[in-house]
Amino acid sequence: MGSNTLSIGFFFAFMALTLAITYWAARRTRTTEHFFAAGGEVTPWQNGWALAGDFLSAGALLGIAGIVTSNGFDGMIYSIGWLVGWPIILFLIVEPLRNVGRFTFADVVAYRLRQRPVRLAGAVGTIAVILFYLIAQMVATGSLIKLLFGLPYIWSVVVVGGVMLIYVLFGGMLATTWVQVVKAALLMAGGVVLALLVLTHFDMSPLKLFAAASEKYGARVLQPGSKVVSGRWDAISLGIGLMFGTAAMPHVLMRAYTVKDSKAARLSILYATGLIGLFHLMVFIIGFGAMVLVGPEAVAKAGGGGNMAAPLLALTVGGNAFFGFICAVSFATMLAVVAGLTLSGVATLCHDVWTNVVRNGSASEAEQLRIARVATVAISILAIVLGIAFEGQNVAFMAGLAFSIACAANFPSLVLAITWRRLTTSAAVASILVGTISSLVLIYLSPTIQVDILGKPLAQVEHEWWFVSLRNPAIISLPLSFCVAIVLSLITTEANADATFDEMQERMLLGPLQASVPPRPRTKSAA
Amino acid sequence: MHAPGRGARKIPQDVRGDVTAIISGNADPAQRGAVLAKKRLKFALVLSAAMVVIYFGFMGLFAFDKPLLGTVLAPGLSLCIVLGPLVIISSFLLCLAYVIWANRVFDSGVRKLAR
Repeated sequence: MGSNTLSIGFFFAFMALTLAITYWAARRTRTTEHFFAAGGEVTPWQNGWALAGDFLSAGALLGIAGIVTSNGFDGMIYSIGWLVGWPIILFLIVEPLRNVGRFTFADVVAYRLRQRPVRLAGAVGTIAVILFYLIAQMVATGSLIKLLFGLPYIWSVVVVGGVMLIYVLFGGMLATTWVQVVKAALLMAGGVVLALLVLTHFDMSPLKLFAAASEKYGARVLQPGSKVVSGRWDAISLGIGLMFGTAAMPHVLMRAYTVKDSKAARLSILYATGLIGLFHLMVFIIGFGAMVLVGPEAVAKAGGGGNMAAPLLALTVGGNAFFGFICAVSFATMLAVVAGLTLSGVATLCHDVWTNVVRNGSASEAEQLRIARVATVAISILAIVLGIAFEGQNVAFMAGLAFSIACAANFPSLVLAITWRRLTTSAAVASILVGTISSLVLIYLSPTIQVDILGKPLAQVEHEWWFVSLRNPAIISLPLSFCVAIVLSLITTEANADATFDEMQERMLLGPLQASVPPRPRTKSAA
Repeated sequence: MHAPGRGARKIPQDVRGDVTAIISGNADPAQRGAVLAKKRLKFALVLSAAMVVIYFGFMGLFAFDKPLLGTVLAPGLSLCIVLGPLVIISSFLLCLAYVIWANRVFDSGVRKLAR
């Protein structure tokens, strides 16, 4: 296919640009501050774009467009759920996080508590989130690249893992940030052009597009159905998981540290919310466009579980060149997301586990950087191996599981650490572990694993006493995690945690003012 | 946007005395910091509650009253196609309200404290 050569051409242009950025960034990455937080020198606008780049996975364009194409409105349930967590980050989390922490969210939870147990528990929660999300991304990436470029699955996974390794290993957060910015800009540009091209067929009116869709496929495409999310409480549970899971995703939270102060962090969340919201509105148009102009049957025939809706639409309305561009952008998207995920996993392993647990907070800069690089290689290899091991498996549930764990394991301890004086070490540790384990157990006992993966008939398992009918565990695991934290805090006391609460509150307000690192003079105001 | 004004005006009972002290310039910095922190948290909680109500109001309809959400208002327009994007837009507007409040009220309070 000629378009294949074109998309590979676009892709190599992206690679050349991002590798040049990595080379430039590598020369500036000398300390852990640079490796994990880009030296705090990212501007709010850059960080807003990078957050959008971090968060908008291939699922956001290809996946949601595909769901909208085959089911109509229901695809939007995911778009909305992925967005409403951002205001929660802004209101409750980002400023305290920026002012109190350094590289990870465990910095904030452990601030008043005993470092080792809290950081170890935090690492368990974070690594679980990252691993499940990485597996989901790698497997989706492998099969999509196979579909888009005709590259064999194993090679797709190895290429993505290898390139991501180069970005993170040499360029750290600075390179990763710029990769995200470039990718987000390409993705937004592709989305805008695609949505506008669709609208030119309908007198630039979304309403005419929706009307055409309902004329062709019935009014049901404009109405909520029960195919995408079935079950009443399951829908609410999905909503809880998406909202509070987004608010506690480690790779999103980590970006709070890449800007110079809490005001910049606040602005970057605002910009990211605007960009992601706008993108989701465009994807809605793109999905309906594919429904009317390409047709759900043609999309289903192209394979990939509906993921080809957006690329096929690009082919229809924009020709071969645009098809190639959208394919290349999708590839770039996957690369950028796995790079961000890997970096936050590395931060947890190096900063939380090695520096603060193994070395009790006294590792030299050189040693920390060495460990960070070892961890980068380890996570990249693990991602490649797991990506290959899970080939052809149904891993779509793993992304949802990652959000559920983030929601139940990270969110309660983080919010309580920031707002509640009484929180104690045992309560925080138990909350994180209960959140992680209950999410895993509930998913295991649900139809997602029992019926979809293990292939047992629903009629057989639904009468078992242990059967959980909810596919999304958040509605149980989040309150459970909160309860454990509150009850344990009330029955245990920790004098030190109580005494340092006011100090932490002050630092949340003022930030690390007289920190050990003297502030460097800046010539240009970021805002 | 009624929220910013409300957050600034309504001050909880237990800090009202402190506010008088701040206005007259008699409060010590730690006390003023605590008042400011409380004010921020309160405003943040109000906005978070608004977001939760909007979102779960929408998801509640999606879960429990699909026919209502599927009401067709005009050709090509159903209630959910109006409300869905409105949830997205309101998320952004709530963020905007917070950022405007924080940039104007909160930051100047922090600057005074830091001095």
